[in-house]
Amino acid sequence: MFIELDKINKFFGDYKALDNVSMYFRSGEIVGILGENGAGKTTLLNIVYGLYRPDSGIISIDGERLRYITPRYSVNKGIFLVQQFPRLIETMTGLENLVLLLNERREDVRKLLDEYSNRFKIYVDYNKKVSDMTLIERQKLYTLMSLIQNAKMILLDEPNTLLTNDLEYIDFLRRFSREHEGGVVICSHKIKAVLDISDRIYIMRRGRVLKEYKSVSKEYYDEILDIMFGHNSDTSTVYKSVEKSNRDKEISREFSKDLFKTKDLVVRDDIGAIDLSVKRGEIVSIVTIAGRGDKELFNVLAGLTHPLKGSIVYDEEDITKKPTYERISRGILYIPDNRLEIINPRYKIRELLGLWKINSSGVVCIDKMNVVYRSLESQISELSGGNITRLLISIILCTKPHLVISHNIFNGLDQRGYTHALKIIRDLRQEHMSFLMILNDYEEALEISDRIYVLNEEGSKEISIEKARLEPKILWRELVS
Amino acid sequence: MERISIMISIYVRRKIQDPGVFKMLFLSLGLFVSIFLIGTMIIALVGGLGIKELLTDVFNKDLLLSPILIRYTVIISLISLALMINVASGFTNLGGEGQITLGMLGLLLASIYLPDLSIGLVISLLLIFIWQMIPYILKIYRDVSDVLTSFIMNFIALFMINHIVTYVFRGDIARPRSPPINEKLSLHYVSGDNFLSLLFSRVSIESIVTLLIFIILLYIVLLRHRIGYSIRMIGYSVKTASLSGVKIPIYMIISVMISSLLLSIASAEMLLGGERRIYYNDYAKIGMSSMSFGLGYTALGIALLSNGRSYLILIYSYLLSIGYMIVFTSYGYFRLILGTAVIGLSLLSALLTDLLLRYEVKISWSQRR
Repeated sequence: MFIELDKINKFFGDYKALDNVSMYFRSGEIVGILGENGAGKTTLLNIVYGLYRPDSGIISIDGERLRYITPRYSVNKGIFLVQQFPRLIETMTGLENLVLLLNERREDVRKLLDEYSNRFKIYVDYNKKVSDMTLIERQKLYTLMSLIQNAKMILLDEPNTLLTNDLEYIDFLRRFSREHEGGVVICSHKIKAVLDISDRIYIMRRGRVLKEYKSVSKEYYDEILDIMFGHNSDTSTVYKSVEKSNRDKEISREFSKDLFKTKDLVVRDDIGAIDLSVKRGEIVSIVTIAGRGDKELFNVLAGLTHPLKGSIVYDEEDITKKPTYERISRGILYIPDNRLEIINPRYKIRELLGLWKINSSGVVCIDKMNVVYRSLESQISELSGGNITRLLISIILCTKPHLVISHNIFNGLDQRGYTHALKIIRDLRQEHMSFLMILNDYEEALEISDRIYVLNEEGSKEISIEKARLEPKILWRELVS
Repeated sequence: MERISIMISIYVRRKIQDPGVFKMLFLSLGLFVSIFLIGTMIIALVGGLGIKELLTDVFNKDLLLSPILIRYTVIISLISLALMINVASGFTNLGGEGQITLGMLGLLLASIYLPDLSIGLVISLLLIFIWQMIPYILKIYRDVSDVLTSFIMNFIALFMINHIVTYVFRGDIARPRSPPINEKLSLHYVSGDNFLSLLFSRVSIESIVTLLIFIILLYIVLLRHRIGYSIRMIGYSVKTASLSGVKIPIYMIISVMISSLLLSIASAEMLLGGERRIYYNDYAKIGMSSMSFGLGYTALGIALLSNGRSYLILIYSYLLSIGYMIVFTSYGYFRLILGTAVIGLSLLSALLTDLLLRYEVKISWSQRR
């Protein structure tokens, strides 16, 4: 398969989302598209899949020149889009969703899923309700659906699997392109991950393609960073200095008594007890492989579901059976990995701030987090994924909770946003705010945490952060043990 | 020979920004008139009737500005407002009709045992409140379909009232209906000879005042206040509301309480401003034989289409009332069909208004060789 985009332009009102974009994608190749939040990556994929129509330009698919394409045409051609937030029916299981999407009998779909899971080595518990699935599991399910429908080109929009170093999925992408002659296009802002996996890379900024790398090397990292954020950007330097100053502080820091702890907490039958603690002014991470208890742990910590066993203590009080709103009123703030579980996209920014009892100071916090928005009357659905994460972090800034419990808090942030968020979180820690982060990306965990736990089938285990920083493989070994 | 294929595409996208109040009002009115005119022409052509006769049947001063029409507009608006707050909080209340009849039962009980209007209204409110809370609690805490439970409870209420007026409080040997309501339970009406007084003479001051207060209050509360943001967040997702710190039980009670209050006023207006007796609901017949004549479902349609904008309810209710008026003043099947058609057209125009204002529709074609 060969897809060529020739001088594609796309406007949203006065805003030029894509400016004369020309690219090509072909079978047997993994193409990375790198760009900061709002660079036009998602718009581009939506045009290739047929969700958006370009205002001008030509799309050629295997030599057929078209002004635009439709999703039906794409599916017939074997082009599939795996979105950042795959659209599935939340109240149904993964299997039931696929029965609807594929229009086949339940038993046939089950057989197909098992067959394709084994063939491509992507495993998802499709009997789970979609609402209980992490974003990564949803993306894997969507990928399986694409494969069942004979996908020849898979378009991945901000794949969380890649962001979180999901080796199983990364391995699948490599095999899909090399052994099965499939094409893969990955839009992401995660430079290292894209450099690791791609055969060819495009860099986008403000709707334009700035550079194409026909071969990929890790040495391009700094150069790409400069192109993505502009030559005058000091993201990289700021990033390094933040790193250093905070490491120094971490070493000399003395923490007080436990603010939050769990005792013999069991969230799933097949996962051992979780014992962890968070002190005031401490950043603690619990690293898991996606889909192996992370979502269940978050739900139990938030009071959305009850644990099978064990207790949760906050500020010397047992809160295991307290409802979520009571926990929040005592100073805990929760951020799930799926942002749509804490934000109603139909709300205006003004309404969201009102819900969180944030007054005029809200604008200051939003600006401090560099959220790009038109006005407070803008609907949240107008914002990009990265901007929604920034908006959530600005809620932390404004509401100043005592403890933040999050699941993949950095989801959707580009390098600049990530660096900025790191700085803000560390500043807040200086003000004695605590963070308990459930993360699927161990590199992020190593970068930000004061202490690290690993969650595997045996339960939770604390790992020496100094050792893990010297040899990150220790963490991975513990995760898969 | 060269082959040319033409591809027509319809592009529908949800609009991000909300249209203004006036745009909404004008478009819905304009759409109603145009849809009505087209519909009338079709009816006239199919039925071989004169268009003029049809138009004068509907568009005449006696109908469009009659006291009865104002009365129905107020009643439908009150019920729609009540169901709108249910919808905003995620409760699709299909049991409005049964709840209104329960409200009437509350007034009947007060009339028999403690004849006082305020006591009657309080009993009505409590009965409606309980009836609404059951499906709502089942939905929030047990994930049971609110559509099904409220629908089932609607019929439980209606058949229960039928049983009561037939066997428990039967006021007439000849036909199953309740005894007349005590005169102490009466609403207040405007008196006077001028045009405005006459126009509002068939609807109580209590209903008008409640309606006006709640149109403004619900507009502010739902769209501009934290209470409304919280209620709407429950409507969006219980999980999201929980993670946003919304005290779900409190806001459930607030929304159901407001809805019950509005429904109890509507039931008082229907019972005390009408024949002052509860009649046996006969679902085998259409029209007046039923006490609440399917208003619950119609009002739910308005509530869904108004999408949280209380001011739109007035205009939609007015348009629908025209249809009801034609149905109730019907002497033959022709007017019955016409009235039902007007109700359908009103809902269709509301639906189209909603579609045009909230979605961007583009139709285009392209040619391929």
